[in-house]
Order: sequence, then C-alpha cells, then structure tokens
Amino acid sequence: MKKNNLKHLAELTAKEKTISKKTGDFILKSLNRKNVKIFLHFYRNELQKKRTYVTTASVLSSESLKSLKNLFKEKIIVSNIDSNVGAGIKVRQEDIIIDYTFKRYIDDTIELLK
Amino acid sequence: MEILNQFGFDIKLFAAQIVNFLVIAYIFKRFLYKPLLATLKKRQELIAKGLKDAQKASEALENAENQKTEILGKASKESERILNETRQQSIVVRDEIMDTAKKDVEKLMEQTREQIKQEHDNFMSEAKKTSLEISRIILTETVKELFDKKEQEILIKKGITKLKNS
Repeated sequence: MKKNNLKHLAELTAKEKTISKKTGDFILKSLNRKNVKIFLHFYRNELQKKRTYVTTASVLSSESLKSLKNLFKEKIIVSNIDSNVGAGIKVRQEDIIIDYTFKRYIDDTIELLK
Repeated sequence: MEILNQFGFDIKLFAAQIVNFLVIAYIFKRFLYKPLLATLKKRQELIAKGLKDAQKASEALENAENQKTEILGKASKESERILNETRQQSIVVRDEIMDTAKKDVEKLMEQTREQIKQEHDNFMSEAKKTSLEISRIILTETVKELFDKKEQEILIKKGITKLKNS
C-alpha cells in the first residue's frame, strides 16, 4: 500500500474515538509489518493533532476544564498531574508548548542569572 | 876613507852585506812578503767581513729587537682591543640575556596570572552554575508544597486567561 493511502487510512481511523474491531482486523490482516509501522506513525500524528495536553500541579476544576474546552474546541483535552510544576498551567499542542507554570518561572529566572 | 877604516868599515863587507841584503830582500819579497801580504790581506778581509757581518748581525738584532718591540706593542694593542671588544660584547650579550630573561619571566608571570584568572573564572562559573542548579532543585521541591488548592486554582485560571489573550 502506498504511503498516501496509509496516511488517509490513519486520518479516517483517527476521526473515530477508538479503532473499531473491523478496522483493526483489516489493518492486521491486510498490511505487512512495515506498513503497520507506517500506519501507526501517521495515526499517532493524527492523534497528536486532535489532542491538547494540559499539565498542572493539581487536578483541574470543572470550571477550568470547561474554559479549556471552550478555548481548544474540537480538541481532546488530556490532563496530566505533575507536582514538579509547582503551580500554574502548561499546554502542549503538537510542537507548540505554552508554559505558565511556576517551575518555568524558576527555570527562566535561573537561566537569566547564569 | 881612513876615518871609515878607523871605525872598522869595510867597503867589501859593506857591499857584500848590501848584496846579501838585496838577495834576502829579493828572496823575502819573492817568497815571503807576497804570501804574507796576501795572508794578511785575506785575514784583514776576513776580519772586515767578520766585522761587517757582526755589524749586520747587530743591525739585524737591533731590527729584530725593534720588530719584536713593535710586534709586541701591536700584539699588546690588539689583545687590549680584542679584550675591550670582548668585554663590550660580553656586556651586550649579558644585557641581551638579562633582557630576554626578564621578558621571559614577565611573560611567564603574565601567563600564570592569566591562567590563575582563567581558573578562578572557571571555578566561579562552575560554582555559580552548581549553586543555581541546587537553588533550582530546592525551589522546585519547595514549590510542590508551597501552594494550596485555592492558590493553585487561581494560578491555573490566570494561565487560562493568558492563553485566551495570547
């Protein structure tokens, strides 16, 4: 199968929330090992495009989660808890990282002092 | 004549004596005088030559003495000149060596100073980095417990507001 076809298949698969049994069987039966790897690469990229990763020091309140959903419409919010950030919020969307955490403030200050 | 006879003068004897004398004179002149004269002349020439040679030798000696004195004088002057020159050169060389050594010492000291400064700067830089890293670790550990839930929520909301505005 051509790369473009695999990419298209990955885009279609990623539109669904999970990979259906039918799609899974097709992928495993029809594609060889190399093509499965390529498909998974494209599928991961598609998921990355659909997801927004949010890192905070504590669990997001429903109010904050709602604000974030409004802000990143048509995106799945994936929340991570990391106490190392101290406080604030860090958002990653594909390659873009927006960091408003206390840890970032400390890191910036220390880099400035260096 | 009588008078001469009274004194015992005999003319014949006198004549005979004259003849004897002439014969002897002739013989003397013929066989002795010339060789003797030649010998004397030869000897005289020899002596003259010897004197001349002695004179020459004396002159040669005098010349040699003069030459010796002159050569010694020249040699003395030359040696003095060489000595002075050598002394001057040695002073110049000594000064050059001293100058070079001084410059080398100064250069070495400058290098050492630079090296010490460099090492000090490196040490300070490393110390600064280390202290900042320690500070980062301490601060990161401290902020984990620094904010309560309410403060966390306020800061999250502030972050979301910033995200909206960005």
